[in-house]
Amino acid sequence: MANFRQYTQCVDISNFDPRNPYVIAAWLGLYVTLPIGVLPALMAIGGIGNPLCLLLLAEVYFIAGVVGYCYWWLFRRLICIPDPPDHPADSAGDHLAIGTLIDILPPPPTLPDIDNDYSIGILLQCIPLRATLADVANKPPYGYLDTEQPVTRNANLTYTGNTGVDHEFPNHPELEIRSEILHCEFEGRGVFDMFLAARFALFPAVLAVFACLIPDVGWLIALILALLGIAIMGIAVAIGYLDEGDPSDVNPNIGELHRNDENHQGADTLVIKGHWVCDAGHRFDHHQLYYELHPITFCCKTSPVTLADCVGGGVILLKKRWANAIGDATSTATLENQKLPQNQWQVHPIIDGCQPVVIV
Amino acid sequence: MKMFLFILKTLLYGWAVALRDLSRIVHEVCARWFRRKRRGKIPTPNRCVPINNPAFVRPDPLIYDQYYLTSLGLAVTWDNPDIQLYLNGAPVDSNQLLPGTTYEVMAQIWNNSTDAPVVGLPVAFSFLEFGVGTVSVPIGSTHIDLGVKGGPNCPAYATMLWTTPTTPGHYCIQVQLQPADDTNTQNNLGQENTNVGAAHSPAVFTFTLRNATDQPKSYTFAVDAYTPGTPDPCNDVSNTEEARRARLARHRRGSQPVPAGWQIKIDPDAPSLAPVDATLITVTATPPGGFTGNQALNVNAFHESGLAGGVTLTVAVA
Repeated sequence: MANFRQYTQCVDISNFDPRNPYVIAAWLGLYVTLPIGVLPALMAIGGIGNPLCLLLLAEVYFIAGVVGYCYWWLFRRLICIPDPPDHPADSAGDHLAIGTLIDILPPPPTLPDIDNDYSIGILLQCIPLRATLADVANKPPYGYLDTEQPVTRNANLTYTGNTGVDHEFPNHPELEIRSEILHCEFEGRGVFDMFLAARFALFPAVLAVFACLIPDVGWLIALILALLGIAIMGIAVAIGYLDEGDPSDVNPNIGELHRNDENHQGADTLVIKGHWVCDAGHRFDHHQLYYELHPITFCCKTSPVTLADCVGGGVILLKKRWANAIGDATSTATLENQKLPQNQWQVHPIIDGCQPVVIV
Repeated sequence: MKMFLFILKTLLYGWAVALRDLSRIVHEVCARWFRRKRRGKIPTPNRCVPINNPAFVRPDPLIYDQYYLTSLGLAVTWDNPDIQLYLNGAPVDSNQLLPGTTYEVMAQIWNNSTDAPVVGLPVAFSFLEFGVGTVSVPIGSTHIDLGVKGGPNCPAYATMLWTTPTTPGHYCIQVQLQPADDTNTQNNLGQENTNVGAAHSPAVFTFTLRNATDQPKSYTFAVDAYTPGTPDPCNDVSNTEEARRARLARHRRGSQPVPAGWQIKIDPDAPSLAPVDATLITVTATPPGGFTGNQALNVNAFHESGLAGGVTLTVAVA
């Protein structure tokens, strides 16, 4: 069953705003706060309202800024990469890649960080360790995914590519092997949780500003509403932090991903499908610009290919076979078939299955 | 006195020193956190990291695996419903193999996953001397594409050509699935172990029992007449979990004992073997008077750790 988490949407380059997200958030906060602040400010100037009520605008500004940041994160951060003519996406808009797992970036354990995407980097199949961006460029069958495309070049975004270290030697960095990799992300819901909470919290925060203008008990109502807004934001941080799969869940699909050991052996080979995008946010955290599969819509382990497959073109056939297999697995016909009585067995069809009745 | 001086110093100026040190620590922690924030997420140094995400899926390729089914408390047949031999396109019983002849061994492979197919699933074929715990000799391996449960290519079929040894005798076939990932690694070994004997009252069979472990083992035998039969036709209630459990219950060990009137003698009936040692087991099956037809008998060998193996013997009375 096609089952994946997606809370983001990529944006067409024509709607992309290259500014720093904190600047965008600050401006949005201002756009929201200024109109709301006009009436209390006038009342305060006129001596009708308490000037201290204007302090509540700070909370409005902060929450509106959070909304703006989350909006950018979810809907303006990822740039859609148009399909190259010779590498069309599948019917779901996905691209497929197979590669060796090089690095794993699980959600950070620190509480204030609500980005709980689970990221991985893979060395694309038939590309050796130590490969540079130039080595990878357009190398079939997957090199195009790491190759600079006109969409970002024409927008004057400096493409850097993305490298990963195969195995860290903390005391011997000279032993580390760095290679050009394809970044892929399983989406978490932390930012989306915060986005929802901030939108909700904005309401009591704005109400608090106006409630404060009510004579006598207004300050008390305003205080309660303001605290409610802050509480909602606090709860959202906690929920976002906890809102990820727990390895102790009862789910047969819970697995483990393995990187290479110190001999550069033993890493998992992964089949990954996902939306091909450019995460412009990495300009600000990693100071890089590269393409990635985000969100991952399908991922499973597979066997590594041989060198002969790479030389003889077997890897291209393998890509087609995987595309067909995933397409079959997620087709409507298969999903409907899986509901039939003859497919409810759990041990073996001959033991706890039943035979479909054939109507002649 | 020292304690008193220490408290006094603390009250006079020690608190300021402590505040300075504490501020330094807070500054270090904050700086570390901000540095980390600026770098974004960083790769973990761990080699093995758990993942729990709906987009990450795992297959469960499987074959009729006698060891797994026995571990579930189910009866088993060694006439494996998922392994079939063919000679020139015609199905052949594995107990009627000719020496030095090339057969096609076909394995039927299932997937218990509804969302993870397997492309290029390695399937290894091997053969063994007829018996229990005997040494496996590789035939070869192939790769198949296995679809998800309910989809195309499930079941999938792996085939392998096998030329039997020139030494006449009975042989067993083993099929081993070797996926890169698997939610259940216990159901990947299928074995076909059959022999047919004509009963000239009684029918006598022999097979080798070998201790394939590195510990001395004492063996016991259990005989039953289990055959899996054909599954019930599906109906409106087949989809329920209760219906599935009812079907499963019919395959419990002991649900199909040896029919009344049969006499089964196993010699020796409780052998003990050192590691790698082997002994010949003789099974004498005496049908009741007036019996005609075929009767399958599953002889399962157990040791302290569980099922050691088994054979399915068919007594044919004309």
